Amino acid sequence: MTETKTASTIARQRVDDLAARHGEAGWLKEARLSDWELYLKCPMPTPRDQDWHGTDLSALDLSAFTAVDFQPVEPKSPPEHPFVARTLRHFSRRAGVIVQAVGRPGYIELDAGLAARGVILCDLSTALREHGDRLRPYLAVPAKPDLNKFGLMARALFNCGLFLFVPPGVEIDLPILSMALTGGATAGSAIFPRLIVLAGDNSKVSLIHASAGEGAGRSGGGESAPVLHSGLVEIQAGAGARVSFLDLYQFGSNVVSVNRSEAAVAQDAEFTSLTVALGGGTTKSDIATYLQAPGAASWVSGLVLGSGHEHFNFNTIEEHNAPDTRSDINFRVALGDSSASVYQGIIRVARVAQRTNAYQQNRNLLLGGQSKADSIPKLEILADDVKCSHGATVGPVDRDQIFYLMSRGLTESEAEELIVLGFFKTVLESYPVAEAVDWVLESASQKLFRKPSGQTPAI
Amino acid sequence: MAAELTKPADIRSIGADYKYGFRDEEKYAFKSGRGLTPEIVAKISQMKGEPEWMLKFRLKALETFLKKPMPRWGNSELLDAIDFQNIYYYIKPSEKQGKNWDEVPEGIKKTFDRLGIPEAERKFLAGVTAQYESEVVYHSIREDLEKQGVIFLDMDSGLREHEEIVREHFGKVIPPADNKFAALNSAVWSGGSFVWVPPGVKVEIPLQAYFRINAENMGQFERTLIIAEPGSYVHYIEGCTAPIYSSDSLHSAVVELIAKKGAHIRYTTIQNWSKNVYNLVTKRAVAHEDAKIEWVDGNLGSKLTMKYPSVYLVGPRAHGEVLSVALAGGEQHQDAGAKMVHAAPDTSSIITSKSISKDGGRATYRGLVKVYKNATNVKSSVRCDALLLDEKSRSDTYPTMEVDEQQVTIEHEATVSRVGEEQLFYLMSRGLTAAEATTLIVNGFFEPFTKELPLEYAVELNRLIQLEMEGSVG
Repeated sequence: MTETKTASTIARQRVDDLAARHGEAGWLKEARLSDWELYLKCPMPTPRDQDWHGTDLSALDLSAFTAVDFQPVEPKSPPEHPFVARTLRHFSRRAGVIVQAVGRPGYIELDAGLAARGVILCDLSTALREHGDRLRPYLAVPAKPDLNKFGLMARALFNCGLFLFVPPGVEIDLPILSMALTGGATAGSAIFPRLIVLAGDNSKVSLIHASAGEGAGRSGGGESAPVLHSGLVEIQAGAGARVSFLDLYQFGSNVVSVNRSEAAVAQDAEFTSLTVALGGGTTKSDIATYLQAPGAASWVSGLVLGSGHEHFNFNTIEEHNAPDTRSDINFRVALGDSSASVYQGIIRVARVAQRTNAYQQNRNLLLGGQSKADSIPKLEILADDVKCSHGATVGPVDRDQIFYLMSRGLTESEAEELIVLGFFKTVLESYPVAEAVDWVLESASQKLFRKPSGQTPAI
Repeated sequence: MAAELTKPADIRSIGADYKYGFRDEEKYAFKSGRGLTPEIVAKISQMKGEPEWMLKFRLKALETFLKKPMPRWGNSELLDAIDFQNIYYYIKPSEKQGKNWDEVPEGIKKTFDRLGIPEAERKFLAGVTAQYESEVVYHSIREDLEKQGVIFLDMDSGLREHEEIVREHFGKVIPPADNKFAALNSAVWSGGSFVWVPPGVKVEIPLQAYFRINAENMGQFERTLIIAEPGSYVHYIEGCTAPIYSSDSLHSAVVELIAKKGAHIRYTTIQNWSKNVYNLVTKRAVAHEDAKIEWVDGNLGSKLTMKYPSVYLVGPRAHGEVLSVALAGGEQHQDAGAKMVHAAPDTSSIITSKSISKDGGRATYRGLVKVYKNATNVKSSVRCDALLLDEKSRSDTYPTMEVDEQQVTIEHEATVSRVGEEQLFYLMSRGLTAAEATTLIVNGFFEPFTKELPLEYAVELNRLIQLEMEGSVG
């Protein structure tokens, strides 16, 4: 395997090797190196940092991780994996699939008609080789100033991921699926996937991305060495485009996942984002949306279901940088056992962004005896002709509702399941891909009661 | 009559009753050098004839202050501009100040004028005929309060006359290490009020105290401690609705409230420092079983205010409320909020915050609701409303909710908007000018606050808002 020649440690040598191995263009190597320098200078976040609020990764020795790659994708057959099988069953009608995995070959398929119309779906290594010119305007730009150490690390070291390009005017009605399986990663390994989605003017596309690492690292030994997943998602929604993105995490408890997604929304474009966090030891994600031109709109929602000692830290950043833009954020968190969640969300309205309409909602349902929820919804408003508001709640499952359902013959746990799924369903209802709703509810239901795959949820 | 309303009798009597002979002398009895050293702290303590434990408390606090870094949140740019070495930490006012009426800024004179304050009182308020700086040289207490056994003294006298009570509670609600400015206050505090209300006593009239800065580059570090014994009630009002003039100054107070079982304390502040004062204040209350604490907090003045009145609800069924309003005009940053810490079951809290930003001002709500494990059946609701009056201004909302217990109901809501065109149109169609209409809407927006104030304060506050609003529209 060629990989063995690449230094796998987190070091400058690896940046050089990555560039050399793929014969990467000079601009890309420069971008990697400048991010690497920033990474070295950037301090390790601490729980006292505002953006991290109580999430503690300071004990991680980043230089001790060993970087791993997804294996190349082939158009043969999807890897045999229960998560893949279940997902494909749900999305029997689809426009394309890409499955990437650590330790086993991946899979790719794309509707031939779409390919003929210029739609590109490929892994990122292939894209860098074949579509470098398309990627350059997005990869050769400096990192956002608020990008944290993990994001800079991923920008310097990314080596796998996905590229989706939809030409102007092309409307894809069926969803495109992407699955990233990290279960093959052994303890102490790190993976840096990067997703780039370019949706041309007046195009339409739905990308459903799932990162799953069930049982990750089981063979790898000690609990002290987690698997690090540090991912980047960059989405460009061109003028008048309609883009929806579903990002589902279902990691094992030994995975530390730190992610940053950024979507730039152009004039009159509509961006819908749904983040579903169903598992992971520590999951920290920043979800940034930039409304860049008049008429841009975004719906950013999230579902978090925690159990065990899982710790989630989600931060939504909504920047209104142009007049007549609107945004709606709805983040719902249900926490069982000793799980914990921090939700932070900021709406920033620039001075020019008059007639902004922004709403932010965060609801937290505490199920378990030791669970904890923090909520920090923030507003920074510099324009005056705006409508901005937010609401946040934290509370237990309503005992009256439980009592009512039990009086109808449900057990207490069934009643609680129904209430939690109902709590999530209100968010899902506005999601434009109908198949995704059932898939997410089933995944959540399985997590709630660890039901065998295939059983339909109660609602 | 307006003049009567603007000025409670207490103030007018200050000059008349003042018996320390300051009219005849030209110098301060003592003015510390600029800057902050252990020698200055020791000198303050010695001047006051304090017991040894207070000197030690001060010196330890000074160490903490010097060690603690400047907070990295809030308005770091303005905070970093404070030059701690260029501040007088202690001035004992025993004489007339060398300033004269002509030096008082036009804006402040005009405000006095518009509030209808008589010439003599204006001079007093502007600090040109009488002043009391670090020492509270005046307080009044009605005879009937004395009969009830209520203690209402300035903090220095409190320490002299009731050392045991002070020693038991001083710095216990807000330890010096709490934050950099609490440490600073603990090292150099002077003045403030000491209030002790005996069990079961309800103090019918609000206790009032006025604090004032007159000397340039003068820090003011008053220290207030209020202890309400079981079943008692007291309402304490600090501040003054007329603007308090000074050149660039630092005001860093520490206020500690203790409400014992079933006691009720209401603490009202109307802050109207002149627009070059840093107002960095730590206010915290402890509410025991069935106790109730209310902070009613209005912020109109200052360059930068950072103030987050808190209630630690440590006994079952304790209740805390913060009602605050802020008006941020040009070059002002009102960074205010509230903290509610629920550490016992069946406790409840309400935070209501209203802010207005105009002429490029910035109003920030920053708050915390914390629920500890086992604090079951907690109810908390937070409501923040912000009005933006023009496109130069800014409004921020930074609430934090930390919940470690399941059986709770926590709610937070915030809105930011501007004065509605429809509201303006309606009022103007009834013959009001745009400015009058806006002022009316702003007054209405602040109404939940003003209705909690004693009448004379409410009247003055409305007038002040009217003054602040002039020229905002059109």
